[in-house]
Amino acid sequence: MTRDISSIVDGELDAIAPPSPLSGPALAATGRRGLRRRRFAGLLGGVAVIAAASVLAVTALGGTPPESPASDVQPSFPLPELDPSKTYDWEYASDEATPETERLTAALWERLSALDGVEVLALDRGTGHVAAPETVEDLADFPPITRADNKLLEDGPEGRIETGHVQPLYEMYGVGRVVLSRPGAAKMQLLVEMYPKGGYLAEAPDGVGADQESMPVPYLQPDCEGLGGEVYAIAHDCSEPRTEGRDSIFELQYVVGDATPTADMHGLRVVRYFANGNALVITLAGLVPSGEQAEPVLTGEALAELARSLPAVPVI
Amino acid sequence: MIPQRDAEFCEYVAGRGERLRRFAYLCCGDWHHAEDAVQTALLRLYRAWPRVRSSTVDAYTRRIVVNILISESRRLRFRRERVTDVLPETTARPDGTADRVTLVDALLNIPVRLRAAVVLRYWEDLSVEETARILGCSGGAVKNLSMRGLAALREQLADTELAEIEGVRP
Repeated sequence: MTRDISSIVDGELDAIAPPSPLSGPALAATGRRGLRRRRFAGLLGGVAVIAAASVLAVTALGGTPPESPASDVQPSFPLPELDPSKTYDWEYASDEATPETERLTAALWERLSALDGVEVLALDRGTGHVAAPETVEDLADFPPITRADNKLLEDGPEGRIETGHVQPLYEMYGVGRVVLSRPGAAKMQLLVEMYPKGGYLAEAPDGVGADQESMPVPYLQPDCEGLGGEVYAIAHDCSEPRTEGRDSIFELQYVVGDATPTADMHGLRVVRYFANGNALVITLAGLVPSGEQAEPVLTGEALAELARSLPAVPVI
Repeated sequence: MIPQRDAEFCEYVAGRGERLRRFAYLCCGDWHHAEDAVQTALLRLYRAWPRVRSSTVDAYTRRIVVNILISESRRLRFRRERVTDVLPETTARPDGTADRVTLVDALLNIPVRLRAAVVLRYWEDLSVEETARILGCSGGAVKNLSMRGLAALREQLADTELAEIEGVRP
């Protein structure tokens, strides 16, 4: 007896499909926020309004971070002129390890393997399988930080069109995700990114309001009420603006409510601006049952210390 | 009219979201990428909801998924915070099922555009014209892609497996 392709594929997918995290209400809520942001941005003339999340604590960290050497080889990647009526997005391609990313990777794993009481796990993207390294050397198999070409695309109803603008980005990306775990704390995914000068701004550029979708560069946005799932403005309240040419670190905690029908997403992020203008962004994010509080797997100070420990390599 | 939009949209996601996720998985072979792509597609659909006719909503959404996973990207990635993000509640494939996924594995081993044509024509059971609209090519190109896709599929499968599958033999 033969069966058609469709029924065989359906049967096989039934056996291997992980539970679906797609939630209509959560997607609709995010979609509503996007619509609301657009309307508010129009009504308020660009005044920052983000309603997606509540910022629990926002801190411009005190103390004096170690000065990073200003690199005279850090090129700029200025954006082309953007059409305010259009939206833009990024596409990433051509991952490769470079001497700079290898330095970052080595420093990152050295620090992670030295964290006391924290287990570093690899989550396989394809199967969701979780594995823990048995030795520090096993960490070498975990996703390295690599260099990607970051291509700016114009977003249109029929697809996206290349604008020709390309800038490099270093990020931890591979076949799996890195998850940190500690008894009594929420498991959180670790994301590490390093942007070239101008790629992740300490403040909104002149004339750009929060949620302006024609501004596709992430930036810290003062006095916002929250952190949106789609918006590029990252809420923070910085009483001491970044000093040009000096190291500075910002820490943000956020909660995205109703990330799934039963859970909120808790996030902790530090942004370190190097003297050469580059931005290192380290984020921990994980799901916590709705209404519950959970201690992050690392404190903000520990995450900031991790950021301080990574080298100021040029992003080229 | 937001409540009405939400109700209609949620009904659509409940009814079609899983099928879209599986379609995206067959296109890219990675459940997380598939979920990211479908989520992105559904958010774009939400924005466009009042303008999309119910008769074309599936094609509209599948086209976005194809654009994200195939047409535009050699390798597309997502860095934004996700609406949903499944952390490590393990979803490893149950023991022993690996041997039973031969057709899906075979599909995932053929070139992505051929695969998309085969999936749309023979899994989604779409016409040549509907497939052409989603892939953004001519009907002739769809026929060519489908034929080459089936041929590539045959090369991946053993005779005993081929014998159980209707319509794959030349």
